[in-house]
Amino acid sequence: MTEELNAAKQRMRQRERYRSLMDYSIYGGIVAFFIAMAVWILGYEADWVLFAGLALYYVGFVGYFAVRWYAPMSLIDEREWEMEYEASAMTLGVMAVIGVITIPGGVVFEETGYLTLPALFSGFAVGYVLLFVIFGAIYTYLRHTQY
Amino acid sequence: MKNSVPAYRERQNLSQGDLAAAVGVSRQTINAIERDRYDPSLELAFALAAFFDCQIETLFDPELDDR
Repeated sequence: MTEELNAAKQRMRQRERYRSLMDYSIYGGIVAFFIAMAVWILGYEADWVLFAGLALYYVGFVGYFAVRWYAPMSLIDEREWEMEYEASAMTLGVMAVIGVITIPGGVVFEETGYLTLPALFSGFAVGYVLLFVIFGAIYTYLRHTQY
Repeated sequence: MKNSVPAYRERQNLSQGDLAAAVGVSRQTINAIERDRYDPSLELAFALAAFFDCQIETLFDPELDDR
């Protein structure tokens, strides 16, 4: 039992190291992007700064997924998966309520001239529709292939 | 679901971290199970029962009284 437990603890420590690597990668990329944006906003408007920040941002995400997919063990345990799924479902539910209430109303009031909505509203509406089109496609795929 | 995981764990002088390592989950997951905040999957429930060398029904029982 002791040997098995020690081996299990060793695996756990290794898992924690991979988790840290994953987190450093993604947070490093995000921080690099914001630093690049800050440098630009503060006056150093060199294109290479923004492109470097963007490159590091993408590298950070690639690194995160590379570690997550290719690590020799599962880095996300079942409780964390369940929280992710539940948070995603709740987020979708909140977005559905917001969209159902605001988008048709916004369209009607704007088209009839009672309101002038910012351009952001059109972007939000398009993004909202796209989100649920993607959700519908994935749901249909899952229903036909896994459930 | 109420469970006897803390009792079984303490009987073997194991920490939550030790038990988590043994069954391949995080310490926070074991903590959540012991506090009745998370019901494990069948796979994890079987892994816990196998680790403690007992039946699942002994560890997890909706009829269990408060500890």
